[in-house]
Amino acid sequence: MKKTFYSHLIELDELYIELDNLDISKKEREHLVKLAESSIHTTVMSCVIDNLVEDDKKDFIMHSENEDHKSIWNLISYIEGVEYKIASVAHNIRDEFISDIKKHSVSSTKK
Amino acid sequence: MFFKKQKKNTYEILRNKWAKKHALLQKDFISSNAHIIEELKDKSKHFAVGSLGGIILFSTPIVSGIDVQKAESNEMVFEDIDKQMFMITDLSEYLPKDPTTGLTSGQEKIIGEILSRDFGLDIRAEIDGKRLERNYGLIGAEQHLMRYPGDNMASHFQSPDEAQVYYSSGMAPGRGGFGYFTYSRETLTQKEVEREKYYIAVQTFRAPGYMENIREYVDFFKFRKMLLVNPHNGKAIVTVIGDAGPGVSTGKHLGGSPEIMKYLERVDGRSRGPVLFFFINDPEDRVSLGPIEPGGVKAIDHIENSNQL
Repeated sequence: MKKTFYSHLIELDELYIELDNLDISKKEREHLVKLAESSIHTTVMSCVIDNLVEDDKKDFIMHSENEDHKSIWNLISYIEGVEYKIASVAHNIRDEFISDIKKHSVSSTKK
Repeated sequence: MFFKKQKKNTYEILRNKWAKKHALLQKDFISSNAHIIEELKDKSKHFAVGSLGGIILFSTPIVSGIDVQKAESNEMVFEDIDKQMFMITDLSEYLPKDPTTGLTSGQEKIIGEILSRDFGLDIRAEIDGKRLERNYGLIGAEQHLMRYPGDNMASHFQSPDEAQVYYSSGMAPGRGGFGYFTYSRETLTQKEVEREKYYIAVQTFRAPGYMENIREYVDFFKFRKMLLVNPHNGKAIVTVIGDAGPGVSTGKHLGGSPEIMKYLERVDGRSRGPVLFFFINDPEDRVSLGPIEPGGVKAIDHIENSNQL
């Protein structure tokens, strides 16, 4: 996953392993990875912005646009338990994806 | 055969489910934060609405020019994100890491096929035995071109909004490499307006065979339609060749009008980036100029087109 301001907080290896175990092409795997990672990213962004005061939301979006991770953390540090919140929402959606894979891949798992 | 069918279903099932979820998440984000995004868009012309403040992890933008206020009703826009993502992934398999190296004939063929398939157009590297030296390279910024004798910055734009965004690019001194687009202000039609708006400059003088048949090649290249694609964000635009250049010493391989550069989200200078540029075979002149999306759908331009001249 591309490095983001929250990369150090989340763990996606289990998702990647589940995708690796599917008998799908490399291109198909890449598509699914992109969809999953982008969904996780949007979820995290929503979580953070929902916890910011109105005046800080614009700055957060601009820092994200500029990939200024240091400024992002300076801005969001006042959110109580922000690291936990980010990890929690990211891992929840990750687990949904893993559950989808397990549910739909019974017959196509690589031997 | 049964196993193959199951395998395809697994990918398709997951893709369809995740694509819907993805689209809904982004739609909710935009809807909830529409007022902020609109404010940033208005205040800063450098704010890349296309990437919407970093909410999109990969450089796959929501269609530039989306009316954020209407995002809730525009399901189609969000589905297009996935078409662009797939195209980006497909292209990335065949593009060289270094855009200055150009494409091999094999890469050119496959990329032409991908673009033809994704845009529903007849995309080619060569028409009637004529081609440019390359189809992938670094794009730089061009200025506005005089459309007719006497055209100037005061008369050039169709709306104050357009002027506000594009005025600073300035106008090139003298005519473009193919002359004026029309004879006078009175003979200017929407066709010429769009040709200048969506023009590119390409290195016609480096085309194989050019020096031996200059007249023939000039006639071939003049206002020839080309598809430009930014492979990093999937944005594509139908353009015409309106000028010759840039000079070889610039290190750039083609130039884009201010409108093209803004739409593709490409900048000049140190952050210069590559684009793909292929001919569109359109003998009956049916393909409209301007932004286009995979599926052949005309994208919403970021400045509303005005029909007033």
